[in-house]
Formats: sequence, structure tokens, C-alpha cells
Amino acid sequence: MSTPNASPVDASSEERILATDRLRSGDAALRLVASLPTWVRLFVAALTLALLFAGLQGLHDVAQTTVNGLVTGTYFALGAVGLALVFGVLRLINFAHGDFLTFAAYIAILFNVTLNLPIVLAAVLAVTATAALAIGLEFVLWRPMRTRGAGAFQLLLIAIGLAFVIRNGIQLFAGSLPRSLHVNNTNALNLVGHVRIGRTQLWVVLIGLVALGLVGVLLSKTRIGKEMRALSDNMQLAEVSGIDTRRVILITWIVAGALAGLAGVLSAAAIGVVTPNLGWSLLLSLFAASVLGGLQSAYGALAGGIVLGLAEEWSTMFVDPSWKYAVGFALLIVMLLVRPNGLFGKVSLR
Amino acid sequence: MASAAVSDPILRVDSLVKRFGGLKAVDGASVSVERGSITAVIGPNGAGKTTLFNLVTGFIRPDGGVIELDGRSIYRHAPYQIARCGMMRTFQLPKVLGAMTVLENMLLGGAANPGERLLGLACHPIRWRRRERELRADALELLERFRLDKHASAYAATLSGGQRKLLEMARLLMSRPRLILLDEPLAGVHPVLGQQLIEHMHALRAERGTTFLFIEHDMETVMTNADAIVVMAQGRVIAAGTPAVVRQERKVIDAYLGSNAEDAS
Amino acid sequence: MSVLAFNLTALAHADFWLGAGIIAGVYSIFTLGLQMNVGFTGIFNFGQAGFMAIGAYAMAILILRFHWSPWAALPVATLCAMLAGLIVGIPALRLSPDYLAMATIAGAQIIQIVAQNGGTFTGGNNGLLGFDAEWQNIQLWMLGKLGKVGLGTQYALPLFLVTWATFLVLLGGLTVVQRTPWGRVLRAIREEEDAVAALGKNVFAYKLQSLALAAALGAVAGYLLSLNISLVYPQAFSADFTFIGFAGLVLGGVGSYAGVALGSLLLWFVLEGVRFVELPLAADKVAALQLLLVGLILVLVMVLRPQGILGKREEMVIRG
Repeated sequence: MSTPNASPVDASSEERILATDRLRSGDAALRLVASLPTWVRLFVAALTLALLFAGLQGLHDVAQTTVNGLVTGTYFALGAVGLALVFGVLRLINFAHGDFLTFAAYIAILFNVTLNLPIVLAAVLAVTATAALAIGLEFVLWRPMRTRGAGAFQLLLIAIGLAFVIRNGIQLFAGSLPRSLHVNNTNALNLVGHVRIGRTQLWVVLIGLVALGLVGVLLSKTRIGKEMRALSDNMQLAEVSGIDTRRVILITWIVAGALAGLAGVLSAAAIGVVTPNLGWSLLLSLFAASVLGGLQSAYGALAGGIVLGLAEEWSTMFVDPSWKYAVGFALLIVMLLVRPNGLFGKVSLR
Repeated sequence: MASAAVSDPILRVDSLVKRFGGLKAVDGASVSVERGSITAVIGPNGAGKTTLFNLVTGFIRPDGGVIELDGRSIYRHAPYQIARCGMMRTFQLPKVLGAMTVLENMLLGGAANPGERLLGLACHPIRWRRRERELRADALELLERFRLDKHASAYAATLSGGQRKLLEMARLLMSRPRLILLDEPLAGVHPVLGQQLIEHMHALRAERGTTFLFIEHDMETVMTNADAIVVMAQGRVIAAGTPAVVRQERKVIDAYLGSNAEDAS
Repeated sequence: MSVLAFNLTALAHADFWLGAGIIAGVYSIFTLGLQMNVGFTGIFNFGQAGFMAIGAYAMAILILRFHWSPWAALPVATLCAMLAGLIVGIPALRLSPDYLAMATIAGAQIIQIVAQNGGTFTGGNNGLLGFDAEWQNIQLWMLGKLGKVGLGTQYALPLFLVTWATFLVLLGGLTVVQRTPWGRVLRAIREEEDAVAALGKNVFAYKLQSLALAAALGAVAGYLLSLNISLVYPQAFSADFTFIGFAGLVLGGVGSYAGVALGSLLLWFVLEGVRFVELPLAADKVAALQLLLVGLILVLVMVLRPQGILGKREEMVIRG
């Protein structure tokens, strides 16, 4: 009767043994095989949809919106991966994550526009500052609350309160008028035919994909990455096997903060203008992307981000662009109802 | 298996299956529980005992098989529906409502209370108040029987582990179930309270004909109190019957009892 | 030269207190619904503003487009909101608390977007006007009566009285219902829903009822909010409204219906008071300061005193 999301029945010894077996046995291999078909299925579905749309709206529209979708999808993915990492390790849905993006965008503007530093330097500083913010909050807020055994409701409201504080703190200092980074937003490149992409947007995609690739390598190849995944799978088991959980949690915040920072700077560059509401308005899309990907899977969040970006942009072929965000929210709701464990259907034992 | 030996099964389970990911927690379990019996479920850790309980009471969704209560299928029914049909259960870690008083906990267990429905509240104001009074009397009587009456107005959170198990049992007795499943009733409980629990079990069976099915690890308790034993290992029922019979079975000894077999005899 | 000057003359105006009092009253009714869901059933309903919107829009549309009498429109609009509660609840209540929060926020956002893009039917961004003709008559009548005690020029007073009278009636009703067996089941669900299911109660049905009732409360808040500004427009029902409501909820105390009023009043006098401190800030920054305070309140209450002012520590056992 219980769905995977219903409140968990007492963890019996049987289920604890099962969890151990799951990790020890070739479950990793099993999961890869199980997810391969989903990847393939997803790609085929996307391709079919693209062809269908091409038939309805013409190849150019499909190609252009696909390009736009990949741009949006890149910074969605960056933001969503950060969310997923934090959720995986801490089981905390960080409602303030979107405002990390806003924070980064405004720090970048501070250095790039107000202090006239080159954009690359400003971006690096913004990313570092956001990572620092993330760690700062861990020390000041999250760790003490965890030690005190704060419940989900408390943490949820704290995250929301934090979001309000960051967002409005920024507005208090910088005002609500739209701002821009000093990036070239007019030059565009012609790809195939009349399909165009802005020079800045091309950089966004390239940098974003490189960053995502690095995160993938971090997670799969490095020791810290494996520890993060172990914690994400089963916190108690990881502790017992000697992993320094506090250190891993700290590193997770650094990575998540940095990714959010990068996402913020890139989205500011790609969209062209920022307001203090940037992150908050993106938050639900980031949620949608993470849920699509299975909330605690970083790889899933990556795919989810791209899928969501494409979905939102493709929708503009059929509906007024002002409904774009509604598509994202609707997708989130549909996913939560139909497949809360994401497209890649990871069975959770919690 | 056991099915053939049971003449009047109150609960019948056949080829029940539950998979978690790639592993079968319950792998084709079949068992019948005799009406009015006190049946124990034993087996090593990870055998699937609590999972079986969860499946049978509707808290986990089975992947295949048959579950029948009094001959009627309850396969994939919701937990509340199964409870209303007369099969109720306790939990390994007792789920008492700490933020409510002991008496309120008991009243919660009351069945057929129109005051629990919004329409009932509005349409039958006299009837539900009367039912509350009846339930209150029932509750105090049961609390007295379980020697918890002095705690009636205390928050349930102040009770000890053993007292909570007693409360959990007393609470579900308010609805007079025909079959009660106890998940490790003695675990973490003071032996004196544990013994009381066992005595209550026998008394209720004698008075009301209630059937009991309980998971237990303490072999001595099982051997002395159970009419029938069901042995599980690796998700299957590997033996079932009277204690004397089960004790002799080779596979049970192999799987589980080991040297305990000599101690218990 | 003083840096901080209070606009004391403004504070002395009854209008300020009445105006703030009306908003506080609207929030109190709104938050009664949140309290029922969060404090008494354990449901993280973050879409309450959406139900408010549905109630307000249904009322306005029935009056303006279908020419109904307000006396018929109000109950029907409330039923619409309750129906929305059921429609949202049936799929969403199966979800775990965090997911439910996300789903309800998303749902409320969608409702806002629909209202914005609804063309002439919903009035788009400009909203709907003119639905309050009947209320204006009532207001004039009340002012006439109040004139007999010398209060005939306090134009905000009628709505203030109606709002708080409504709140008190609803508070009374909820307190009574909470003490019934139905209320007992709800409280039990909040703490340990498996135990409740194991005792033969249909937990899902209770959660639906709780959500539908909260939606009704949200709708009532929506009517009063709209009457206050004689307008029904999308931005009034933003997600921020729900979060501000939560700030009032936790401040007053989770698990206390009376605390809802206390929390909302405190919150709103602080927020409205900010507007009267003459800070060298532009309007949008004052608004930012107000919301920043809301965020601070949320964080500080949850960190320092999660049970709020009137909540009890033992009852702070929300599942999750």
C-alpha cells in the first residue's frame, strides 16, 4: 500500500540487511543496466517529439528552440545538480538555493560593473563568494540545527526564511531595477541555416558543459565523490564504514555553492538582465529539473535540467511565451504525481 | 506445508512475494494461521518476518500471491480497511501518540464513533457524545486490566517502553479485533511487563477467542507459549507446525536453532 | 539632525491602526487554515494563496460575469475553493511532506499564471472591479449606525469589524471542532499516521477534509482581502502571501488557533510600522526590508523557539 513516498514503516532488521546487500552486491552494475534503457528511451522520445514538432511547426522553429533550450538547460542543470547533491547528502530541500544564484549574479555585477573588473575575474569571485556563503550557512545554521535534531518542518521554514533574507537583502542594497553584466549580448552566431545563438550564450553552454563534466568526474572518479555518493545512498552505513561525514557534508556545500554560483553568473549572462527575483523565479524550475532526475541523483539532475530547458523552450512553439514557466511547474506537478522517483526511477528504501 | 494441517484458517497466505529492487524480501511465503491459536513466527534476521507482517496488514504493497482473511481476499487492501476487517497489529517500535494522553490514545482506538466523521458530528450530536461516554468506560476498564489506569491523564510520551507496548495492545483491543499481530512484543521490554503481555495474550484468547500471531526471538517464550510455530528463512516459510514437530525438523535446526535445540528440550 | 524620525502623526491616525488591523485580520483567517493543516494535521500546505485566489476570483466572476447576487456567490465560491482543495489533495496528499510543499507551491503559481493570462475573463493583470456593490451598501449602512456613536467617519471601521467578527466566529468553530473525536483523529495523524491507519481510520480521507476546510478558510480571507481594496488581481495572491502567513503561524505558535491572531497581529504591526519609520529608502527597498524581516522572523523563530509564543514544546512533534 505504501508508495515510496509514504511515511516509512519501521526499518526492520531485514531491511537494513537488504540495504547493505544492495550496496555490496553488483547493484551498481544492476542500476547502470536498468538506467541505460531509460536514457535510450528518453533520447528516442525526445527525438520523436522533435520530429513531430518539426512536422507541425517547421524544422527551423524546432532547431532554434532546441538551441535556446540547451542554453537554458545548461544553467538549469548546474543549479539542479547543486540541489540534488545537497538533498542526497542531507535530505534537505534547500529552498534558498535559487537565491544562491541571485547572490552570485549580483556579486558578479558588483565586481564586473561597479568595480569594472573583467568578467572572468568577476565570475570567479562570484563563484567563490557563493561557495563561501554556502559553507558559512552550514557552520552557522545547518550544522547546529542538525545537532539539535531539528525536524523537517523547521528546516524547511528556515530555508524559506533564508531565501527571503538573501533575496530581499540583495534588493535592499541593490534596488529592484534590472541590472546587467558587461557582456556582449548582441553578437550572435549563425549555426546551421538561420538558427542563431548568441556569442555569450554559446560561452554559457560551453562553460556549463565543462563544469558539469568536471562534476561528473568528481563524483565518479575521485574518492570524495565516492564518499558523497555513499553518504547519499545510506548515511548510517557510510558513517559506520569510517567516512568522515562532516567533511563530506562540507565539501558537498562547497560544490553545491560553487555550482549555484556558476549557474547564477551564467544565467545572468544568458538572460541578459537580472533582478533580485532571478533565483526565486528559477527555483521551481530547478526543483522540476531535480525531481525529473530523481532528486538525489546528480546525474539525473543534469539530465533533468536539459530536459526541462528543452521542454520549456519547445512549449513556446505552441503557446504564448508567458506560459513558459507554467509548463515547468506543470511538469513538476506531473512528475511528483506520476513518478516521484524521477525519470530514472531509483527505488528508495527510505 | 502448513496449509494442509490447519483446519480452520483465520488467515491464509499463499505464495506471497515482495521485491525490493533486485532482491526478494519475501519469496513465495505460504502459511495458514489456525483460528483461536497462538502462533509464533520465528526465523533468523533478514528472514522476512516483519515484511510479512507489513504485507499482510497492508502497509507494504505485495508483488504477487494470495492473502485471505476469513476466506475473503485482502490482497492490496489499504491498512485501515484490513484493520476494520478485524486484523490489527502492533509495531516493533510502539507507535503511541506521545503528544496525547494515555486515555486519548485509548479513545482513538474506539470504533464506530460517529463523532469521528464531520457529518456524524453535525447530524448526530447526541449519538456521538453517548458513544464517547461508552468508549471512555471501555477504555478505563481496559487500562485497569493492563494496570495503566493510574497513567490515564499522563501524556503517553512519559510511559516506559514496556508500558507503551501494553498501551498499544490495550488500544487496539478497543475495537475487538479477531486476529492480532504482535511484532516482537518482548523486545526491549522489562521481563515482568513482558510476562504480563504474554498473560494478557492467553487470557484474551481464552475469553474472546482472539487469534494471536507474534514474531519473537526468545526461544523459551516461543516454545512454552505457542500452539503453532511458523519458521521463516530467506523470505520463505521453511517449516510450520507444533513446537514439538518443528523442533525436530532438520531444516529448521540447520537454518536457525543450532545448539538452541538441545537447550530448549 | 535626526537620522531616524518616526512619522508620529501618521501613527496617531486611527486609519493606520484600522488598516493594519484589517490586513492582520485577513491574515489571521488565512492562517487559521494553515494552522489546521500544519498544526493539526501535519500537512505542509504551501499553496494556500492559490485557494484564496480561487475563492476571490470565483466570487468576482460569478458576480460580474454571471450576475449572481453576492449572497449566492459567496457560498458557491467557497465550495469552488473546497473543490480545488480536493482536486489538489487527491493526487498531492500521497506525497511526502517536502514534495507536497513543492507541489503546492507550484500549484499556487500555476493558478496565479492562469489568472494573469486569463484575458477578459479574469481581468488579466489589471484584475476585476465592481464586484463589491452590495458591500458598499452594507458599509454605508454600518457607517450610518456608527455615526450614532460618533464613529461615522472611520471609513475602515466596518470592514475591520466584519473581518474580526468573522475571525472570532471561525476561531470559535475550529476550537469546538478540535475538541471532538474528529479533531482527535487529525491530531493523531499529525504525529503518527501509521498508528491511526492501523486503528482502522481512513487517514487519506481525513487529510482531504483538512485541506478542503483550509481552502474554505483561504477563500474567506480572499473575499475580505478583495473587499479591502475593491479589486481582485493576481499579484495579491502571490506565494509570498503564503510565506508571510507561515511567519505569522510560527510566531504565534504551531498548534494554537488563538496564537494565529497573536502572530498575525504582531507580524503586521511590525511590518506596517516599518513603513512609518522615515528611513532614507526608496519604496521598493522598504518593501524589501519588510520581507527581509519576514524571513528573519521565520529563521529566528524556528531556531530559537520553534513552538512560537503560544505553542507547547511537547506538541512540537510534527512528523518528518
